[in-house]
Amino acid sequence: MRKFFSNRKWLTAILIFIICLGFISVSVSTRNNKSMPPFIQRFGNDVVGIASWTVAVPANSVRHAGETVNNLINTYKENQKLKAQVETITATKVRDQAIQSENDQLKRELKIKSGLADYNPIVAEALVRTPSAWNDQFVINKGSSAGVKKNMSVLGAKGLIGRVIEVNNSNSKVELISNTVDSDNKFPVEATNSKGETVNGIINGYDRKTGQLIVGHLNTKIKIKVNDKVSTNGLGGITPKGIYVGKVAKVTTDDYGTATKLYIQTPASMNDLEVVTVVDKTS
Amino acid sequence: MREHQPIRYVFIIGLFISLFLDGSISLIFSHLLYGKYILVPSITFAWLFFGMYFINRTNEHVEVWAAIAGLLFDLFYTGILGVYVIVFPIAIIIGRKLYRFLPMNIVTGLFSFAFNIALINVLAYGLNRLMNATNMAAGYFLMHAVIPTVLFNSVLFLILYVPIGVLFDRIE
Repeated sequence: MRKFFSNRKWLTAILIFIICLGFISVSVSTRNNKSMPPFIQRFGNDVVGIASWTVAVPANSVRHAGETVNNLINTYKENQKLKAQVETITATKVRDQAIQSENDQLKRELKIKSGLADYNPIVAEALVRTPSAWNDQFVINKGSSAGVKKNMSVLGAKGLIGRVIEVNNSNSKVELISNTVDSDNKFPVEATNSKGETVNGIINGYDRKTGQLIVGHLNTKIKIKVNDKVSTNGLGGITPKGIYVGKVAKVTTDDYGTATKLYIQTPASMNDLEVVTVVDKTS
Repeated sequence: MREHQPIRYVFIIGLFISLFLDGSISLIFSHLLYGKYILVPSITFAWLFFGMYFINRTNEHVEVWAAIAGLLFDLFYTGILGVYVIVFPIAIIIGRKLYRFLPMNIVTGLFSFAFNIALINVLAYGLNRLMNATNMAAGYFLMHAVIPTVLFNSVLFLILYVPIGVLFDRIE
């Protein structure tokens, strides 16, 4: 016994291990409870973030070049497809404007300052992705100086992709919705069926094998079918209303056969991020 | 005492570049690397391992640089301090033990590297799981992440072995 403890190497190793465990638990609790990491960590992140441009910017521009070539090849096909859409788009736009102005007017009459669906967008670029199997996290190039705050929702090209989990001055970390750790905030969503009836629920799981989100514990008589659309419902105070999440891919009941469980297929762009939009719910 | 040693600068600059390359490659090829099977590039560790493996004449403290790289990794990528800062040096220390124990050639190098990559992934996952920072199931992690990652990084190792060996030899 005495020999073991007199061995300084062992003692230092154990000490280092305990210190590391302490650091881990502190940073996990900071991540769960505080709106920002401590100053020294933010400062370090800013410096590393700026240094990372040396690699990330050339790498991203190479990626752009590859995409440009790809775009050139696809242009003809796309053009034909888009032509068909263009005709309907003007009509939709005009209608959209009319509805928007009517909505504003009604709100003014009802003295509502801002609705559930209003938000301020902050456009950011993805810098790097965390090289880790379980984190599903990436770093964007806008931070608190651009107005990014913790827990804001992040949109990709086609819909909701995640939330901000750490804010530094000039960059921040975004966690994809596929990461559903218990301690994180859950997204409140609604599924709307063809009759216009809605069911509210919470994204509380992710099926890694199929890449589908799970909305569980639904207790309702309203029938939701495959291909019904799912979007955020604006409840809970953080996420704005009406952000597209995906389509219902499967409707089942949970293990006990009492509550409904929905599997949601997200748009394909979840893994192919370049430019993202951080949305700030105005309230 | 400390004279001009170009290998030192090359090693440190290369370490930073490989640290950022990991993130950039993960972002750009994320649809390939993070699909059904998860292939995590570990160029940072590969660089540290090559440093431990090839740089013998100068007394470079690779373990210390492994801890620094691990700290930056924690700070910038995961946001959870204390995981890679301890895992990287442990892997390098074990790698050095294996290096002294085994004859030096590409097969034993590959074996030692693959073992270290598996060790890093399992240890880091274990620490995250312990602190409830992930809810990925252990069986899924093993089958869909560890094994593909080890294979993927072994291929990287084989590709980089000769060029980096030559580079370090030339500079030394």
